[in-house]
Amino acid sequence: MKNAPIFAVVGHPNKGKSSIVATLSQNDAIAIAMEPGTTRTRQSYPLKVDGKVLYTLVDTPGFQRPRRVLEWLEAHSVSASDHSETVRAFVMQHQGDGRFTDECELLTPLIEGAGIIYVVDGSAPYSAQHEAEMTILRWTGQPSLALINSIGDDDYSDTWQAALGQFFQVVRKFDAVRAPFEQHLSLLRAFGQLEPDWEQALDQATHHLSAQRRQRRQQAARIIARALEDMMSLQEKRTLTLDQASGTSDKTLADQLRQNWYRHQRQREQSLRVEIEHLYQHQTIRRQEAELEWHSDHDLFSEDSRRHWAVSKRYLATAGFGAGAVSGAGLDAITLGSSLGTGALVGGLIGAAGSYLYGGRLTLPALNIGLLRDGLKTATFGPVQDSQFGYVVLGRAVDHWWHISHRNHAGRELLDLEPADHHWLESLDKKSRQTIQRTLDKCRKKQVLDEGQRHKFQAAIEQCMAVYDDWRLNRT
Amino acid sequence: MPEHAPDSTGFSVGTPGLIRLALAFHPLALIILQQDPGSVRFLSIAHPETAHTDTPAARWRLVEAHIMGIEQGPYFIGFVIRNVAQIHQMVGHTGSLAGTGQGNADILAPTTNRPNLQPEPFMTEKPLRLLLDFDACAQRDKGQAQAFLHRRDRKFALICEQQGVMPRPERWMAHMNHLSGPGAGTSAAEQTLRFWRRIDRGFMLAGTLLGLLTMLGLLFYDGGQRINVTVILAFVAFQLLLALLTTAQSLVGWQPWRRLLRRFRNNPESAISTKLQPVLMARAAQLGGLCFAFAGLATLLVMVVLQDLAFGWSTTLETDASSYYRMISAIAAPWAWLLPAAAPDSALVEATRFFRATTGEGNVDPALWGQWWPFIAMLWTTWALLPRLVLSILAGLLIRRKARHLLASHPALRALMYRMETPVLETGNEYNDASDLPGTDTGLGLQPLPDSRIVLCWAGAGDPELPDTLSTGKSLIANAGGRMTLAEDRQALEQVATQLAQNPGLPVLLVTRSWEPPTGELEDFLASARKLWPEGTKVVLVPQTNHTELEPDTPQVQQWLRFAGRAGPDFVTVSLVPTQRAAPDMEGGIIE
Repeated sequence: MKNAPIFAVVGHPNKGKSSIVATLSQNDAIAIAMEPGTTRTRQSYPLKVDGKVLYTLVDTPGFQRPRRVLEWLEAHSVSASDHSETVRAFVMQHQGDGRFTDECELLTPLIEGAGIIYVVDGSAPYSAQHEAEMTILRWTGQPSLALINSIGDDDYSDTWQAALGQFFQVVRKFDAVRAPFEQHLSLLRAFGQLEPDWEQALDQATHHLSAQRRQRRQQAARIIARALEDMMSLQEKRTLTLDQASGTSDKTLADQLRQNWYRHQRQREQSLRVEIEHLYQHQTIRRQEAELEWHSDHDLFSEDSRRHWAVSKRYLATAGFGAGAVSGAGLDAITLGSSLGTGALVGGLIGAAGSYLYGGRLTLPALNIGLLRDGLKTATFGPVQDSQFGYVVLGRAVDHWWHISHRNHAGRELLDLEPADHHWLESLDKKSRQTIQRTLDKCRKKQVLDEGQRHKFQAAIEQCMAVYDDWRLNRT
Repeated sequence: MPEHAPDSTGFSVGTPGLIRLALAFHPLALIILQQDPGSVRFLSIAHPETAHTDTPAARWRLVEAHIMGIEQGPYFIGFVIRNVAQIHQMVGHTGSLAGTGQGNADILAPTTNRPNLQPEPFMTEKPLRLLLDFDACAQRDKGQAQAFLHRRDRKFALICEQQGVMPRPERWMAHMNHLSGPGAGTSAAEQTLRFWRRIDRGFMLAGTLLGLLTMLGLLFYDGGQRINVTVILAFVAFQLLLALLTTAQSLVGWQPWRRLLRRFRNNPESAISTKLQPVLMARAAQLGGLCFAFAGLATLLVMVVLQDLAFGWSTTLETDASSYYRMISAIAAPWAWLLPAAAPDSALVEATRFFRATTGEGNVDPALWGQWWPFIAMLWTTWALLPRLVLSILAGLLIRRKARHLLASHPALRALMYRMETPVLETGNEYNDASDLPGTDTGLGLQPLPDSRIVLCWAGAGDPELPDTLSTGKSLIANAGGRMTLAEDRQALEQVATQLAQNPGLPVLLVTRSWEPPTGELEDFLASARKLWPEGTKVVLVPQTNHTELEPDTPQVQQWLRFAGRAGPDFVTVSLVPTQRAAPDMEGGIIE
């Protein structure tokens, strides 16, 4: 049985070597900021399907003393044909040597048959100083690929490309932080091209990774759907005894309930965020809390937020029309069509009118303070009566999802979620719009959704995500 | 006993001792093993069909496996399965195993008489139990991480694939329960079933009592007025109608008694229970009706034996005996061919009409009145008892069908199927060393750039040219590191040494590229320099950016400061070339 291909990622620390590994292995818990000079061991990152390894990335420490190594190698070699064996001999001889631990760590996988992925920073100028390293790597005789990462703002990749081409089979540009997912797959396929035996494994890997990405999108839609349901049907309830009721004014009660309601909504939204992040294997966004900032003027309930995220009245009217028409159609069915479709029309008009009238303001959720009965007074706040709320939440959730799904695991900067300034939802197709509107209505009436409806809702949200994706793509 | 070493896909169970294993899905072979560190010895195989009297009784107890770690489990089982024939040969049992391949198949073919551990209640409830168990399991899984569930279920599917069986819900449930140990996972289902069994019993008891009382009431005869067959006919028709309505109602799903039921139930309802309520209630009702019918029949028969009953028929409608007889014959048609005595003839019908207004017996033989009783008995049996029986069985079947349907459409089942079908992709993100950051505090601070006439350019730092401050007025500018060979490095060191010999006390400026991290080579160079140069010489590292008019970024400067700290702050310090911008005030202290 052939062994799975191994790729040793080699290069100077702080050139983005660990970033490449982090991005490709979707691991955001790798120490990206490396301290040069502190000896490290190599670390493997295998990609496994059902426990079977398809390929492994090995993160190695950088060369510390390349000239000395090269000097040794040249002294012990006779001709080009024994280069790889000389490297092997070097590693064997210097295994315990304190000065060459990093070199041994990085050369060992190479003499065991790993491919070389050499990472350089394209934003720093090319210098011939690296040639000692590159020569050593060439001596190992392993298939090799050079990656030009981009850390800073300058771009010297052309010179790098020309120079690296002499030492490496393939030279590619790859920005570990900003490269889109398709580029990851294309890079992996390039790895597979280094050796004919490796092509199949890498193709399988890319196939599975694409499938995983599609599945994640569906799961994200389901998570968002569930959160929307919860948030639209949230109701704060409080029951007071006679004594408590007499001690609390109605206004205080209302305030308390409102605050609790808002608090729970915020919490639910936060747990939605975390769920989406975990789905895409972004764990450290959680660990560094300061990263995810909600700018105070884009908070969930501010007027600004509503203005940005809420849908236009016209949209709501058309969506409401659809939803209303459907309930009207039910009337048709009951009267066995004798209403001649006017049921649908009337229902549609009513729905549209209602949405149009309502759609202007973010009306407060329903506050209901009951009467004192049997010594108990029950007050409820919610569910929210305005479907605009649902659209606001949906918009934010889809935006967050988009950012997370496009964020590479090497990225370390703050996730800045600003509201978009265009009503992208208007390019959503009619059927999905109606489904969403209907589901939001059902939720706020506290009606239970059955499985079929949940499915349709989830599919509609997937459509939203696709529409948002397109819109983002076209606008940048 | 020969030792048998485990093969390479085996396991590593740490503690020695006796391991008794029951194969998960086909509990047929009991394999007794003894494990010593590094090897496994098979002591015996006990196969149900080849029980040997010399096998100690103790070995027959099915004990739960002590499989260390779920990863080892399937490998262990697979290993045993593959080698069971050899084990068999070693251990020396004969019987159902006949040769290598054959032996494996025999010992693992599923038997039909799987031991049934629980007493089956009326109307086997396997689909119902499976549904409830599955639902309970799904509820428990709700809080689990998706990745964990995916791995668990995918592993199960792969095991099934290895064994060549279909991964079905029953298998999955059995697997789950097996993993949790004996007696696990059925408590929620048990509660629900017990609750419904209680309801069933309640209905049956009520039905019995009611049947008894009703029949007593129907057959009330104190010598005065006769028992009206018409009334009984009407009652039986009513019973039949009730039974049919109950079944119809369960099919439609109408439950007006839901609130009442909720009061009696102490554990919370789940959605599944709510959907099952109509059919379960219908079964309870049918069972109650069945007991009612039985009790009624029994009462009738007892009354017939103990007392003299006089039946007659009476109705306000203008009907003559012949049309009544026709009706009676039609009703009696199902059993007329079997028991002609139970089908009244026209004479009886004619003779036994009565009107309450008339008193006296008329000219009829009193014994004739009693001859209706076979008809009544058969009427009751065929039209009250039998339908109830049939409908009770139907209710049971409906429950099974509904349970199966609910299971098939259960969202958790769909999710389970998806998890089992989708391969688990691990991209290598288990390794986590983000918290393992190296120490990044810098003890040193930047020093101001000293005046010096010796400049060393490390690893091409001076290319293409040095800034003015570093190039003008210098007595020596040398290159080292990078492309220079080690010999050339040595030369540079010696040149500097000569200069220092002439002007002792001068610091040496070592210009570096700020974006290239300091490597071991620089360390080596500095170590040699320290040895070669006069005592007390200072080296000042001057990191330069690519655009020499700018200052290097703080993280880059800090990496040089840390390097200087490691190399020895008494020997090496770091300075920056002052730029157009005001020199930063960074004398000493910790730079953040």
